[in-house]
Formats: sequence, C-alpha cells, structure tokens
Amino acid sequence: MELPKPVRLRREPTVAAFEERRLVLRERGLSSVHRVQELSEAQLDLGTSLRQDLAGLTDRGSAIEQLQQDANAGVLAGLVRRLTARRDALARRSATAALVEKYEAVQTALRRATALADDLRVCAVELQGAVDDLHGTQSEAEIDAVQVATRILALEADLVNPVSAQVRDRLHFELANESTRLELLEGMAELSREQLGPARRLRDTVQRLHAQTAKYVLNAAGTVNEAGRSIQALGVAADAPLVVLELQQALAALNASMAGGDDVMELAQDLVANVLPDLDAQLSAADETRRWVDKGAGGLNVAQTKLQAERALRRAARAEVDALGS
Amino acid sequence: MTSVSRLPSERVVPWLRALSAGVRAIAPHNDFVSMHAVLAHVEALSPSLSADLLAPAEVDPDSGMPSLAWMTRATAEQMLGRRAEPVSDTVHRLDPELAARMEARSRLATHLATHELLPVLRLTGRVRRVDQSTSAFVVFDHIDPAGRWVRTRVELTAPAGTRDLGLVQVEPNARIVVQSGLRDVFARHILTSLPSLHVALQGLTMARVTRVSRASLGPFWYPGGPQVTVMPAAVAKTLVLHALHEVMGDDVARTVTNDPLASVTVATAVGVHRTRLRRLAVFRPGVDAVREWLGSDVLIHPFG
Repeated sequence: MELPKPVRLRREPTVAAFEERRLVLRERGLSSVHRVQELSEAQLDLGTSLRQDLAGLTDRGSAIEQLQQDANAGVLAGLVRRLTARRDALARRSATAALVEKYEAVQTALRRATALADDLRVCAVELQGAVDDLHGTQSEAEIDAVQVATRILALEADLVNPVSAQVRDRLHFELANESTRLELLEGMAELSREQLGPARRLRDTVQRLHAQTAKYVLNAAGTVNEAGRSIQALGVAADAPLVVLELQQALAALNASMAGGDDVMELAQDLVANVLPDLDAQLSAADETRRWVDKGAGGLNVAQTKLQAERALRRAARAEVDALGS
Repeated sequence: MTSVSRLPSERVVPWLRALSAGVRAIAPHNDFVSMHAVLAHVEALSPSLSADLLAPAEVDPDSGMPSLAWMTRATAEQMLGRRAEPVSDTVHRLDPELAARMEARSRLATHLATHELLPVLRLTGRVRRVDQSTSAFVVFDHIDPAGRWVRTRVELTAPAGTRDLGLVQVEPNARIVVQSGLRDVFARHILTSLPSLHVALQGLTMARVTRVSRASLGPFWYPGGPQVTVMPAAVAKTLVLHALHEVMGDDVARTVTNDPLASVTVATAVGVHRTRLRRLAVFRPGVDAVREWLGSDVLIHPFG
C-alpha cells in the first residue's frame, strides 16, 4: 500500500528553529522597547533643556527691555559714554553676545528635536518591518500547518482500513512525525500571533510620538528662525540700545511655540512610566506561555493528533473567511 | 518682522557653488575668517550634501549672504555631535524617502565631525613673542547683522617681561589668557568704525595696539538678489562677492583708500594710518560690466 505523499515545506520546523525564533523575537521585542525608552527619555531631556534655554532667552529680552527703560530714565547717557574705566568696560555684558549665545542654545535644542523626530520615524518604520515579519512568519506557518494537517487526516483514514502490521507501524511512525511537525508549526504561528499585539502597539505609540514631535518641530522651527532674524538684526541695535519691541515679539512667539512641547513631553512621560513597562510585561508573558522546549514530547496519541489536525484546518478556514470579510 | 529672501530649492546648490567659487577667487588671507571654515560651512548647507536637513535656504535681502538662521542650523548640528549611522534595509525597503534623509544625516555628521565651521561669535588669542618684547594678538570672528563674515584682529605689544596686556594675560609658559568680557567688548563694537575701535581698545590695554584690522566677506550680489540703486542692469545680472579689508597701525605707512563704493571717510588719530581695500570676485562674463561701472582701478578676481 502506498502512503500519502510527504509534504515538503519551505522551512522544516524543528525544535531548534522554534527555540531560535523564540529567542530572536524576545530579543527584538526587548531591544525595541529599550530603543523606544531611550527615544522617549531623549524627548523628556529635550523638553527640559528647551524650557531652560528659552527661559534664558526670555530673561535676556527682559534685560534689554530694562536697558531701554533705563535709557529713557537718562541712564543711557552713562551707558554709551566713551569707555573710560577699563574694568567697567570689560565687565559690561554685550546684549548681542548674550542673545546669540542663547539663540544658539535654542537652535541646538531645535536641531536635537528635529533629529529625534527622524529617529522616531526610523524606529516606527523598523517596528512596522517587525510587524510585517511577524505576519509573514505566522502566515507561512499556518499555510504549512494546513498541508501537514491534511496529510495527518489522510494517514488517519488509512489507519482505519485493515492493513498489514508493517504498514500500520509505518503509519504510526508517520503520524507521530507529522503530529510533531504540526505542533511546531502551530507553535510558530502562535508565537508570531502573540508577539503581534505588543509589536503593533509599540509601533503605534512611536508613530504617535513621532507625529507630535514632528508637529512641534514644525511649529517651533518657524518662530526660532524668526527669533534668529530678529536677533541678527536687532542684537546690535540692542547694544546701542534701541528698538526692543520686535525682539520681544519674536521671543513671545518663541515662547508660545515651545509651549506646544508640553503635549509631547506628557506623551513621552506616559510612555516611559506606563506604556513601555506594560509592553515589556506583555512580551515576557507571551514568551513564557510559549516555552515549547520545556513541555517535552509526549507519546503519540492518535485521537489527539486527529483533533489537532482538524483544529488546524478549522483555524485556517476561519482565517480565510476572516480575510474575505476584512 | 525682519524680512529674508528664500532661495527657490532648485537654485540653492548652484547659488552655494557660486558663493564658494567667489570665496576661492578672493583667496582670503589671515586677516579674513578662515577660508576652510567658510567652504566647509557652505558645503554643509548644500542640499547635495545635507539634502533638505538645513532648509530653508534663507538669504539676507540687503547683503545677499546666508541668513544667521540658516548658518546656525549647521553650527547647531555640529554641536549635537551625532555620529554617522548606517540605514537599515527595512527603512530602505519601506520608506526610501526616509532612508535618503537618514543617509544625508550620516553624510552631514561625517562632514561636521571633520571640519571647522564659521562661528557666530568667537574670540581667540595667541602669543607672538616674549623675548625682546611681549607681543600677542586676538582674533574676533563673527557674522555681522547683515550676514557678512567678519574677522577683527588686534595686535598688542608691550615691553619685554610684561604679563598683563590689559586685554590678555601672557602666562609664563607663553600661553595666553583672554580677559573675560573682551568678547563682549568686541560684540558691542561690531558696528564701531575701525579708527574708533582702535581708540577704544587702546583705552583698555596697558600695551600698545600696534595693528587693528577688520576684514569682511560679503555682500554677495546675484541676479534677483540685493539691489544697489545705482547698479547698472549688466552688473545686476552677474555674481559679485565683496571682500573688504581695513587695517591701521604701525605697518601702515600712509592712508590709502581703494574702495570705489566707500561713501564716508573716517579720520584717524595723528600719526596712525589706515588702508581700506575692496576686492571683488566677479563671475567672469560680468567682469567688463563691473569694471566699466566702478572704474579700471577696482580689484577684480574673475571666477567661473
């Protein structure tokens, strides 16, 4: 009697391959969470330094305003008098130098935010790549499982017929083999399925953080540039000192745009405090439930193997229906 | 609010290339800001290196020089000190546009890690000699309100053994310590004329100010750029980068001005002479038009 033909799979499922895949996914999950944590913390640091730099810049603006008031009160004459006392001259700060210094600090913070937005986008794309990979592995394992399940049912059917002892032995042997293959394939699909949720959530979170950071950078960039133009044009005048209104306006606009950073900071804070530990726990839980190698291989149970094969076929059929409906 | 001109994206690369060519044609000496820093800065701004990372390309409408905001974006990137990082295959496959941007980031990071850029404000100093006399100089580099790149250089000389030169201290190992606050003095005098600056600095130092120079690169005229009311149409159609060099001190034997565009003459102290020299880097096809407009004495360095 001729046995049902063996199924040739693209990748033969083995315990070693399964364990390797499990470790890869675990490591990738952890490293993603770690990376996102780094990015979120960078975002938090950035928010804090921006606040401080901006406060410094605003202080400078106030100092210039004070200078203007002093000038109106007649102190200007003293300020612009020819340099006579060396110590006084060297001790007097230049409004231009101070403003440029602060402006450079704000500009650097903005560049850091821009770079962070790019890093977040890269992270989101790489997480999407991981999600694609999980879908791919799941789908491949499910297709293979259907083929193996079909063969199991065919072998089961042969076992019902009267056959020689040798053929029966052969059928038992084949069934045991296919049962393990099916179990490994199902395990592989399950592993991907369980990792999909956290990976998708992490991707969505990073995407949200990127969108908010990018929006914030866009808003801030215009006003920072405008402040730069004003400082360039008025910084020197401020040393005279002259007009400060325009500079004050630029600083006020800058202040307003930096306030938009609060949303991003809140999101980053939430990410670090709640979302990431939660995702980490989910990844660990998913990993623990699938420790296949710890289960150990049991003896062949024909009834169980049949049930398992039928379950695999039913799941595949359901997935097909779901796919049609979506 | 202060206005700037924004260069159309397709013009940015040729515009920066022309600016670099103009700087090379001028071949600025040590009284000017470092040519290497200028060229490296301009290259960093170019989309051919950094794509749109440092955009928008903004120009001061009066001088035609890159705006402070545009210039400081490169400086700020350098201060971040990012490292060049390879872009993953996943990013290349899923988002080629992002991959191109990240590759530009890597190119820019490598460039910035290996080149000096123009500072917005920087003061440095060096000792020249400490034998028969003590001699030192300080250099103040800055980007002025019109976007010109300016270097002010001051040389001081005092009798042998003098350590305190007022603006700087010379340490026994011939190292120099610049007085804190001196940078602010220079910053406050960005617009002060050279003779007045000479007087002001002399009042601050125990040494003798033997030489003061101020050299600037800019303005940069280009078609559609800054308009000088008296400029003939043929000149408005070409590219002109200005280099202005003023120097006064012991080594200047007589007062000479070779600046066809100078409108004001400033008196110097008795016995102190001053030279003022303007050179122009002109895009070769426009050389005759510029010479016809400004006269045959104008110093022109053709480029292109």
